[in-house]
Amino acid sequence: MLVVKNITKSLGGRTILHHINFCLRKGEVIALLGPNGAGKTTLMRCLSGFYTPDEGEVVLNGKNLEKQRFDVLQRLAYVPEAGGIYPDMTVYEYLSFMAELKHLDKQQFDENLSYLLKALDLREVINQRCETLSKGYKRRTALAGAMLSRPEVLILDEPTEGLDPQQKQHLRAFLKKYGREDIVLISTHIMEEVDAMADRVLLIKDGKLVCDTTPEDLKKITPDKDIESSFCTIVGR
Amino acid sequence: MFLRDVLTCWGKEFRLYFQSRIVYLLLFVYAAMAAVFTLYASDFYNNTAVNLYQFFRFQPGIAAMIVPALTMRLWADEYRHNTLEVLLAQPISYAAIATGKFLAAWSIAGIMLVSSAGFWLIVGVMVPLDNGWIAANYLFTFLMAGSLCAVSAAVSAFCYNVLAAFLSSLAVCIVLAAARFSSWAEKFMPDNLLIMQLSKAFDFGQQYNDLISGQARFAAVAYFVLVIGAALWVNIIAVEYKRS
Amino acid sequence: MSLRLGKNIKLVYMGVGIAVLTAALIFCLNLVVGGYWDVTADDRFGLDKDTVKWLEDNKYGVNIRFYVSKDLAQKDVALAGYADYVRRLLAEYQRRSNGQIKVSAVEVVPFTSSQTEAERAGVKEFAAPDNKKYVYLGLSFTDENGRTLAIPQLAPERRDELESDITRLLSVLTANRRPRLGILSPYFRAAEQKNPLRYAENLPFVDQLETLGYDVVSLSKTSPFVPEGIDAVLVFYPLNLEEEALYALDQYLMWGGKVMVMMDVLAEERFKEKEMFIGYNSGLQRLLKNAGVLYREDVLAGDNSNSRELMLSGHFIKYPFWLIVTNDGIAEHPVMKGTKKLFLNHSGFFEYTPQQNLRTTVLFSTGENSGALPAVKAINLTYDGLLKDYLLTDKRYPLALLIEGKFKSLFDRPIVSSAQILAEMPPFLSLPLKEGTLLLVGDSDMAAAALWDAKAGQKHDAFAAATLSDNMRFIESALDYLTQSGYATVARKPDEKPRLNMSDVFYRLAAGVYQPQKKAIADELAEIRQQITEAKERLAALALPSAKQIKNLEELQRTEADKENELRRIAYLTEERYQNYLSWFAVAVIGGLPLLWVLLVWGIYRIYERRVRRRAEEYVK
Repeated sequence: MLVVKNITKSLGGRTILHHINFCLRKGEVIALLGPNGAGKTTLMRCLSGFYTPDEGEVVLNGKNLEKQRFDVLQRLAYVPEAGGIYPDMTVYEYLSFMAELKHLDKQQFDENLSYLLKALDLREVINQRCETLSKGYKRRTALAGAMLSRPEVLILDEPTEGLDPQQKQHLRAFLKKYGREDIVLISTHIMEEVDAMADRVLLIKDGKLVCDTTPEDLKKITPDKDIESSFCTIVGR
Repeated sequence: MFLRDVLTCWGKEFRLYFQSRIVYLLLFVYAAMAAVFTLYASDFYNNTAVNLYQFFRFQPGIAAMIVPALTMRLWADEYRHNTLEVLLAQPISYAAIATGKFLAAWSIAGIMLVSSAGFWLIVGVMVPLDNGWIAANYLFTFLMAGSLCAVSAAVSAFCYNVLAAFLSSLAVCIVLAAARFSSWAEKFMPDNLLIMQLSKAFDFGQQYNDLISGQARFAAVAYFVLVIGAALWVNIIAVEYKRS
Repeated sequence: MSLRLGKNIKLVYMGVGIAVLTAALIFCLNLVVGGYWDVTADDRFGLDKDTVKWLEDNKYGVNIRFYVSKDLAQKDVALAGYADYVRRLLAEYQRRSNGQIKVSAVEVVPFTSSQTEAERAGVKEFAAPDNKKYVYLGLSFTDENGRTLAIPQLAPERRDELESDITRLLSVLTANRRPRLGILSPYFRAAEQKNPLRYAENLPFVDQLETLGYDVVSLSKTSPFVPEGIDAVLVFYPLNLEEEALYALDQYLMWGGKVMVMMDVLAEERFKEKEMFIGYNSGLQRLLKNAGVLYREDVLAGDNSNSRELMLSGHFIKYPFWLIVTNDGIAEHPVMKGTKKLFLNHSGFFEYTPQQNLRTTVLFSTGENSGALPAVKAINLTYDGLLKDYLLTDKRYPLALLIEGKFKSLFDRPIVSSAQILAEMPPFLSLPLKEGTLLLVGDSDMAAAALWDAKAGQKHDAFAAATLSDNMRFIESALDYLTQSGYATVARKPDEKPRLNMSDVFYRLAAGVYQPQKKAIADELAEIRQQITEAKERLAALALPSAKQIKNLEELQRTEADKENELRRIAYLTEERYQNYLSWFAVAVIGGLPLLWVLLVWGIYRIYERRVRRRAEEYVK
């Protein structure tokens, strides 16, 4: 269980997150929604340990992210929006580097790598340099890097951005499957993605959590029974 | 665990160096520059020193020019490719990352330095040399290069792009290696004992000369080790600063 | 806002804290930690154990002032480097002396009090070897009573002797007495002059002896006695010594005197002056015979294994009569302590039969592959001529002997009849009163200027002259032994490896290519010149030479000119080849080696990369 308690974060003199509180349980795919500049990425960075919140704490299974940083980060993975892969490395080099960072042993690495190469369809490009990969492969490589350690919490910033419809579908199915056992937190603008994947929706507006509900309940807000309309209604457009 | 993390980061950075062609160019430029300075900037042919002094005396200057090119992309590339977010969200300490990066740059500096071993070998076959002394000088030069790598890496950690990282660390390295504080102090404040002592203690060139003179002072070794330690510390602070 | 600032301020504090802490640590370490590693093969910054022992035993305070020109580095980089070395060595003296030795440095600026002080202390200005700019680089040693000794000029050429010089001067300064040394030699003027030894035009070693703690006086060869108060007599190149001198030495030994004799069959100095060699007579043969020693005054010792090279007919040959005595031929004896290599040019040798009451020790001798040559042949400077009469034997020839014990007198009554002189001299002894010591050396050239390499400063300044070997050290050590001076002597730093430059090596390589050609031409030239000389002599003998004879001579002279031209061409070709070697070397070092290294690194990385790819492919399979 990932508990976010009263997180506040300021950057550049501006408070981006105001006292955010929520709790994520295993077996959930959570969609983090919000207009541009609402603080989605900042929140994800706080959850991933990249930013230290000015106030509040992040607790995973009773362990505090600040105090037991390595323990928490061992069970948590984050893929930023831009991918965060090294263009000069080959896919294999990148994945083995990520495995080393997560302190995986050889057996775990072998098993997980074989599985992920197949599941994310990366076998063809394993020896290709990341900079030469298409956007879809790049996203999948970054995802594979994050998932190598089978994290309990997977935090993805706009994971399907730039993918073709087929790839999107494939990835959604994959994440949905993963979310059955673990926590998957995705930030997205695409409402159909929320509809297709999410078990729960967190909506942030101006750095404040304004809605924590299920997609079904969210739809009920407007007469259209449409997430997009509900979203617009809540954010005020 | 810390050492394993350091090794992981070192391995990644070290491999990345060889992915780019610049490192081969730098290897060549360094070896050629060292040879040109040795042969033409001092009376090498007519006064071949048993400790290859003509080779070692220019090392701080050459290193000050080459090392920034080695360290410029250590951090700047992480910012550019957005990988810092991923790297800092891993269960390893910032100290391990900074140390690994520094060690990678230092290793490349070591490879560069070893490139001149062929020169040592050839000269050694032709004229008698004090090989123990030269070997020690290689170690000390490696240590000196390490301190420049650490300083340069620390400076580049504050910069977001490669060019800024290169220029700023070049400026710092050149000031550090070329400015002879003790000779300035001698010129302007010869009577101020404290200033004289201070300038001598912090004079990079003086400390290096102390090391390669054959009488390697412990204090000079400590100087370079401390510079490395302090620069690494600053490097970690720089990462913290960037993160916040 | 405040939060952000607060965080950054914390970082700034941390940064400043590190900087201050590191700076303080560096500063303190520089002040406190004085230790070092001496990484040089010859331990050049450490002090010899004899020096250390002397420093530990020493009870007297000495102030060492180190005078260096201001801006020496701008005047002469090499000298500045040497000054730095001296400074480090002096610091080591101070460190090991339990506070007795205090070192201070004085920057000498012309026309200031520092210059006056330097001059007053005995430090002299000299021309820097590189650019002839005048500089000060010297040392003065002052004891508690204000007595001062100086090394006027520190010549880098004497780097190997520096520690030995400093320790010696320290021990001379703190010694209770200065031994008196009488020198009997035709090279010196009469004793009545105040400072008679200055005539020693090419004997820098006498200056050196004075500086190294001896009071030197000249003895007259017509005086029948050795004056009172002389601790030892050095007979240097004895030549036709009179009966009086023989009597003086004989009686001196009977009274327990110490005598060192440096004989010489073929003195380089005389030979250089083009004096014809007509046979050497020391006049000492009877004295030697009385001690059971034979020194053949017309035979030279040769050594085929250990000898120096000589330039003959345009090329270097190993010349057996320029002896090198190394460890192999040097005995274990206090006199020989620290002596590792001696050079003797045209030395005679000793044969001896053991005598009752006398102990004879061979101090040093030639190597196993030795021989002898009549001295008269040695002045015939053709190599073949030399070797024709050279007899190789398989015995070692003693070159220096130490004879100690009770000597018999050569005389049965005093040879002096003048009552006045008899009153001045010690009474005649027919039986020895005490044990005497006679130290015999087969060659006196070993102390001559030919084996000294005067570089910086004045030629005759002992501290500016660099020895090529341990010759001076041997003489110093022998006299210390004879006079029981008690001075500290420290072995000079061993210079096992010859000093060789890259340019020497390349030049030798280039010259080696043309060597056979050059030798052939030089031989032909020598032959032609011989023929020209003969032809000229023939023509001179004739009242009216024939046209054919004149034409022949002209033909020979033309051939001589051609050959000389060929030699010049070879010199030019050698220079050209040498320059080519330098260029090739530069290209190899600047371009070739770096390129090879880059290729090697690239190759290794490619192999590694391929392995990684293969490993990756295994996962796909």
